[in-house]
Amino acid sequence: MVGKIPRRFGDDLNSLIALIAVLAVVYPVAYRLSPTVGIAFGYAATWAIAALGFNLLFGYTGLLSFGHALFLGLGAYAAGFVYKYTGVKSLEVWLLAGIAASLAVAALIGPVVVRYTRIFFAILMLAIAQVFWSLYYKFYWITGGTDGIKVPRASVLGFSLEGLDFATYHHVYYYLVLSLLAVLAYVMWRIVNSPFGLALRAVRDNEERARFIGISVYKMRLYAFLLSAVYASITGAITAMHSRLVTPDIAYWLTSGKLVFLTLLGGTRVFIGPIIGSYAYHLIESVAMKFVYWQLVMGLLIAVIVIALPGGIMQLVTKAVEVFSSRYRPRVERVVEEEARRG
Amino acid sequence: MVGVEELVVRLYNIAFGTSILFLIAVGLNLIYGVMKVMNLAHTALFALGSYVVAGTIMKIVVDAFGLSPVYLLVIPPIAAGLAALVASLPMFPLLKFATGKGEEVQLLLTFGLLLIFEDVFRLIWGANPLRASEPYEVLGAVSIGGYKLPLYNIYLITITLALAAGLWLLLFRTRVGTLIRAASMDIEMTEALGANTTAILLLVVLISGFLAGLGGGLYVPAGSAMLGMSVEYLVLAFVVIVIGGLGSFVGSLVGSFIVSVLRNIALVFFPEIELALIYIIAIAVLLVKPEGLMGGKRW
Repeated sequence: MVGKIPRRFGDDLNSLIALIAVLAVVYPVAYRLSPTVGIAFGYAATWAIAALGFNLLFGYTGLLSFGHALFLGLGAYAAGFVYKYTGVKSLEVWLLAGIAASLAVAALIGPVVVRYTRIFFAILMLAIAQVFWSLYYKFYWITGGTDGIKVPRASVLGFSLEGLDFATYHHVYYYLVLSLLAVLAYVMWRIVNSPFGLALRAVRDNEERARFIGISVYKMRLYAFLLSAVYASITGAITAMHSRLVTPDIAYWLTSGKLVFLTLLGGTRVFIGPIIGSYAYHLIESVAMKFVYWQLVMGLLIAVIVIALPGGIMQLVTKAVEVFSSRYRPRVERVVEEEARRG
Repeated sequence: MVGVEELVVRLYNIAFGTSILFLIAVGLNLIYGVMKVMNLAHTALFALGSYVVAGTIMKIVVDAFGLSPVYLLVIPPIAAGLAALVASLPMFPLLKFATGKGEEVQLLLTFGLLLIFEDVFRLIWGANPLRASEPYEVLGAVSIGGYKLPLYNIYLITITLALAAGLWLLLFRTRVGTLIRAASMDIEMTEALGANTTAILLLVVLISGFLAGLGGGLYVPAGSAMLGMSVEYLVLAFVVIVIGGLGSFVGSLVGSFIVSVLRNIALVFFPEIELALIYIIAIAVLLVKPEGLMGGKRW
């Protein structure tokens, strides 16, 4: 029974709900503290969506994509093209266009790329993403090249964000994206805790055994790939509106690198890890950006985390929670107890 | 029709591109071969070589020896190679740490190093592109049918050929080379047979670093040192070893050549999709033969 699996802190639904509530409550304080931090919250919520999708593929299925900028780019450019060529200013339409474009490309390349794993999958995704990047970059008469496509603030559910002043726009944007994140995170939580999610973990942990007990490894990977693409394209389409400009940068490999890093920063083996990672990354960035050499800070931080804290921030958090709370006892202990009870 | 002169010029450009890419990719490949680590920071050593020459060494050499070609041609690249060699020393423990870890650890750790390098360049040499064209100008050019062929490029190509030959001799005709190749096939077995594998790995990292730095030092008179060049060349070097084959010496050469040919063809006929074309070929190779064109044979 799926529901009976003993869960660590951060894997159960209560932690997710609590986290979203905290993120909603803390925002006004953060914005009052400094608008820069408040704006960073907005970006963090946006990127958390892509990070959840990325982690379905990486943390749960074991496929490291070093080219997820492909889907962010498709989401953003789909939004940009819809506005540029039809003039439609509706975030819903942009999101649908982004998802459609992303799904179409993912369905085209997915059946081929998921046959590869490990470094081959990583490089293959990187290469495909770079092809799209170079197309955005070079076909400037369609995409605007490095100048990009200018995109206005869209309307959401018939309510236009265009006339809002700076602060109001950011408040509305944050709660809008946070709500979307809440819904998508809940959907993702249901996915990873469904039999499908368990099958993904089986594929990750031991491909051969998974195949042996009748799981179609190929299909599981493909579905995870498609879902992951959808989540990334949502972040892409929202970002297009938020930054008011779509440039090839969003499809560049540094974007992929950022997504990999912030997911790992939060922790890939805990459900809420990617959300935590996105917030942590953007908060650090908003502070470190003031420092001219923030790439240096970033690089050092990456090295420290990779070497000293492979489980990301959630590694510290879960450990702390397990020490202080009886509700989340270490997983192993619980399983042993349960086994003992069954005899 | 393409005239003979134009063909010569194109071949010349291809040889130049192949040389630069080879000096970078061979090290990336050697490290991948023995350590199984994809070192994203490797091209930062190439950039380091360029910066050392354009930002520091070339001025010193010109001040000390004037525009004497012998000094201008010999000292800067060697200094660049040595600088990169020194920079690879602290990288070695990190690469060793990444060995045997997951891809995400390797890619992130070395990506972090790349970011650090880029900002260190900015810290030391500033954000503006630097040039050091003295050797280029001193040597001048010959003209063939209206096209100018810089003699400096011939020098660069010759040096690279000599280095490639030297490296080949080292790898295939010496005891150390045999050990390096053995380590790339089965490092545990090599260690079990009594070889000091740590020393072998260190040697490979140092050689690779030296070659990349030297490549940067050789390249910069014909181009310029600028921020972002690590990434630009990383992306190309990546394609080179994907096409040539991960961990293969001959593959580095073949891959460099193919990528150079493709770049030149693309620049003439469809410049819009130059990068796309290179990547599409790389994807095709990965799909048909994931181990690369020369990967199956290992060396």
